[in-house]
Order: sequence, then C-alpha cells, then structure tokens
Amino acid sequence: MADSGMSESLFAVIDEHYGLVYRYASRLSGRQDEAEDLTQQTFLSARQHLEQLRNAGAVKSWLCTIVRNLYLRSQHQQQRWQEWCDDYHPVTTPDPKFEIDPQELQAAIDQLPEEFRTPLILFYFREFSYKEIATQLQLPMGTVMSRLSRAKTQLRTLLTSEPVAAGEPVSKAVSIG
Amino acid sequence: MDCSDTLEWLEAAELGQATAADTEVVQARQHLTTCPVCQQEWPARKSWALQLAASISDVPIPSGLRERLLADVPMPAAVSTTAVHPRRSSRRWVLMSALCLTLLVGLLQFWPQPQPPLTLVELQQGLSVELAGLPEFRGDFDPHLPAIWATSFDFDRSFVRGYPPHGMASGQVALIPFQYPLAGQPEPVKGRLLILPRQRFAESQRTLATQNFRQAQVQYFRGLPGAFLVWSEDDLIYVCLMPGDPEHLARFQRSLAAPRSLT
Repeated sequence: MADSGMSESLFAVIDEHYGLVYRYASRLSGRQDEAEDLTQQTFLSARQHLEQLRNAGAVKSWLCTIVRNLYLRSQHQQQRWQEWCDDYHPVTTPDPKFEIDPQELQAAIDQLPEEFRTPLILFYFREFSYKEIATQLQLPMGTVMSRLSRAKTQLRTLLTSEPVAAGEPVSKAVSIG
Repeated sequence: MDCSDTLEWLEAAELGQATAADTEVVQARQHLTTCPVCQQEWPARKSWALQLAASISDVPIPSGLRERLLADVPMPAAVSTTAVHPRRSSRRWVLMSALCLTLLVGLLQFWPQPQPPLTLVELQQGLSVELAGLPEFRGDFDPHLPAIWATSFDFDRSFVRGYPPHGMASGQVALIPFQYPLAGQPEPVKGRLLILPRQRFAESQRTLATQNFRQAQVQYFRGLPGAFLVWSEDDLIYVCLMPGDPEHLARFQRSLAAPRSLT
C-alpha cells in the first residue's frame, strides 16, 4: 500500500493485494475453489471492517490475518480431520539438484499441522519478516522460529520421502506383529 | 549460537526475513566462517531454501479472479480518511484501548505458549538423537514406568532425559534409555521409552495407541530406522522405540509381557 494509503479505496486494496490473498488462501487450504471463496470472503470482511484499519502500512498483514481466521473457522465448521502421512526418511538437506514437484509440495504442506503450516507459508512467501510473522500470529518470535524450524524439517522430510503407493491406509504405520 | 540456529538465521537473511544488521545474522555469519559443518551444509540449504521459496510463492492466479472480486465485493461510496482515522470524539477510548492492549501484549510475552502436539514421526526421531545432547527432564508431569515394565526394570530418575532437546520444549516428553537381555542374542537389545501426557500427543494418532503394552502392535515407518510400540496407561502415552530389526522389539514385548511364576 502506498503512503497515501489512509485514503486508499477498497478497490485499490483489492487490486494491490488480491494475488497475495489468493496465494495464501490457496496454500493454506490446498484447494483452488476454497481459496477463491476465502479470497472473496476476505475482501467482503475487509470492506465491513475497513474502519478498523488504523495503519495503512499494515494492510497486508491485516488481510492475511483475515484469511487465516476465515480458514480456521471453515476448518472448524467442517470438522476436518488432519491426517498424517507418516512415510518418512531421516532428515537431511536435499541434494541441490532435487526438484520440487508442485503437487507433491502442496500435498506436503497439507500434511503439516496448521501451527506449522501458517508460519511456513508466510516465511517462504518472503512478504513478512520474522517479527511481522510473530505479530500477525500473536506469538513470541522464539515460538515462531521454533515452529518454523520444525515445519521446515518436516517439509524437507516429506518432500524427500518415497512416494506412497495408492490404496494404502492414511496412517502408514505398518503392523508386522 | 549452534549450527541449527546458524543455518536458520542465514536462511532468514538470504530470503530477506532478517537483515545483515540483525545481531543473530552477524553471529550466524561469524559461526559460518569457523564451522566446517555449516560451511558444508549451507550451500545445499541455501539452494533448497531459494527453490522452496520460489515454489511456494508460485501459485497460479485463476484468470478473471480480479474482475470477479471487484464485481462481487460491493464498493463503499468512498473509503476516505474519515474511515481510517480515529474520530476525535473517541480519542480517549482509543487511548485507553491502546494502553490496555499494550499491557495485554506485555503480559502475553511472559505467558508460556503451548507447544503443538507431537506426532509419532517426531517421537520416532528420539531414537537417533544423541543422549548426551539431551537435557535433564524437567517436565510438568510425573513420568513412571508402565505397569508391566516395573516388574523387570528399576526406575532410576537420573536416567530420565527431556525430549525434544530444544529450549522450553525439553520438558514435553520424558525419554528413558533401556537395555534388556534377549535369549539367543549376544548383546542386550537397547531401546528408548518415551512418556508424554496424552494431550501432547497428536490427536489424529491417538487411535494408534492401544490400551496396554500387551496389546500394542509392533509398527514401523517405511524409510525410518527401527520400530515402535505405542500404548496408553492412565493419562500418559508410552512409545517404546528400538533400532534395527522390528522382530527384536516383538521378542522384547513377548518376553516382558509373558506371565511370570510367583516363585
């Protein structure tokens, strides 16, 4: 948002930030249709509460907070079950030549608990500093860093693990006893 | 600053989430100049971080989304400075609110933050962690041996370590190393018993925990070394980890769970 943002119209807010809002919603939800719904609801909510925005420079964080709140509310309403795919290899930094498959990336992000997923997405979007992420999530910076570290480790592990054969149960714990 | 923190801060600086002027970044760069482990690890980590940042940000925007939003979100007649400036009449209220908020934020800084629940994969990694690197257990619950184990093992509190090893989280789980002689094995089998309160265990995996040690099934993760048993007693979750062939853990379980003569 520009310095003259105090008088910026909702039109300009949408125009400038709809891309970020959609990308964030998409990574959080993992679904294109849900991401578009969340994006629309975010701007509807922003329109209703625009008078609450005191700091024009914080509009990006404000919108991302709305997206996350709406997403969490929708998750709660749907009572979705966070399942884990526990098919892991030990953690190492992958070979630099390793290429990230977009579908596998989203599948891996989907498997992270929300506490880990949100800071990870915000971190790799490169839109916010550590401090801004902590403020947005209302957590101390140390907690954000700890969650980020664990999220990155789990993401690396998930992305470098072997693909899971179709038809296997969600929990990959294999009984041999 | 240790190697893990160093790599975190270097990555943050590389991606622009921290600046070269940040104390931690300065310390991380100093560490890098003297640490051969980080010097070896950093190029791959940097490359991975940049690739990941590019990939995560790369979300195609559906065509026409902007137009749909502009059409669907009704525009206020004018969103002007009056909409974003606090009104003069409410200035006192705003000041009071700001003061309360500041106090609340200050209090929250010192309020302990709950740790996210631990998953079996995170617990399984307790098998490969160096015991010497684990702090003494200082958790907020009383770890005790499972009922059946108490007949075969003496419980020595000095052996109980805190896991995971990082900071405030080290009291989340009690980790107890153990060894047990198995018939036909030249050396005792070694393992680790993890104990944690039920609410710290990932909710979606609680169904994997049986009601007692005897009923627990030997399980393993494809790609991870070793095997584990998971069960619950009272309000505690127990995870028994053993490296190597899962059959060793199965034999250990049968041996420990076998009925014993009173004599």
